[in-house]
Amino acid sequence: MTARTQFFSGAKAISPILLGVLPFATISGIVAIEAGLNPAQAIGMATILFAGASQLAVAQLIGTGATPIVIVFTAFIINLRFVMYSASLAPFLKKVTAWKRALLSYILTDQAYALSVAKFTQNPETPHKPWFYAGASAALWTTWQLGSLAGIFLGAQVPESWSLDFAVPLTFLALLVPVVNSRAAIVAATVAGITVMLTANMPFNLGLITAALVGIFAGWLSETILTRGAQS
Amino acid sequence: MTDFTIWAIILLAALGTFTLRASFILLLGKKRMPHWFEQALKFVPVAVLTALILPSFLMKNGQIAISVGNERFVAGIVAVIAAVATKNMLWTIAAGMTALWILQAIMG
Repeated sequence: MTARTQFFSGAKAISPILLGVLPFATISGIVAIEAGLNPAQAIGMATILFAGASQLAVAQLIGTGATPIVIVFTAFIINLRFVMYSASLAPFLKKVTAWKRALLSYILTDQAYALSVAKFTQNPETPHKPWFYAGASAALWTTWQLGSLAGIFLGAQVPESWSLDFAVPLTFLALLVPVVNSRAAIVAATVAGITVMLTANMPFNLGLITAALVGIFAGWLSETILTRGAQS
Repeated sequence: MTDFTIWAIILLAALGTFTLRASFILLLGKKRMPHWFEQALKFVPVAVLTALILPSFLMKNGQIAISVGNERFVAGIVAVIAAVATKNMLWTIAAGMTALWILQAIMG
């Protein structure tokens, strides 16, 4: 099997997921325009940042006029999960040059990560692993950009009375439900939720970051206590 | 917000995100992250998403408004039910937006 065929088999393997990614990308384009970004900025965000959930959060916070540094920091926290993916993919990508690894880092996504790691773990003998991952990622990147462009175009046509800004929390809700899958996760969500409401009037939207950090800590703490309880 | 500020936000957010993505693939290679950090990372999505969602559902005009008079609170409940029942992003958005539009039409 050549590198080229592995690239395409990666793209093929991710194609069922792309059907779900496309509307997400379109929404991200629409809300970027609704939030007040111009088309160039919306395209810039989709291509340079290229990370769906954080793009939605950045758009939402720009729309509400949050403090810029808080917006940047919020995007950083949302994307902290990439460290986890990066660590688990690194062993499979170590043989390629630094330049290529930089490119492979840039196109890292939840979907391409999950697909590739599952494949490489089940099938350790998979040849040309970086190419498989690159093919899956490239297909996702292309889909994301096309969906975004459609959304950026549509966003300019949609009147404000449609309240499409509300699509942002709804999208987050759809992302949230599957990850509330353990008692510790419920604790993290509850604590983050209560904290964000209590700190709603903190200046510069600092409540958001405070709530995220307190929630993460609460989840971590309750899991640590729960596992200790199970062991003793 | 000025165009310059928006561009600065996009570029800084992108730079930070690239650093996170490249952390192990490009920079740290075989190094392992501390166990507590790995454990804590698991709770990032659940905590951040909840903190982003709740104010959009529970606040109206900068005030906490947990009542049927707040269209977004009611539409949010409809969307939670749809999200749990369907586990599907499009159905969740469709249910929440439709509920919001109906409520806005009724309440004027």
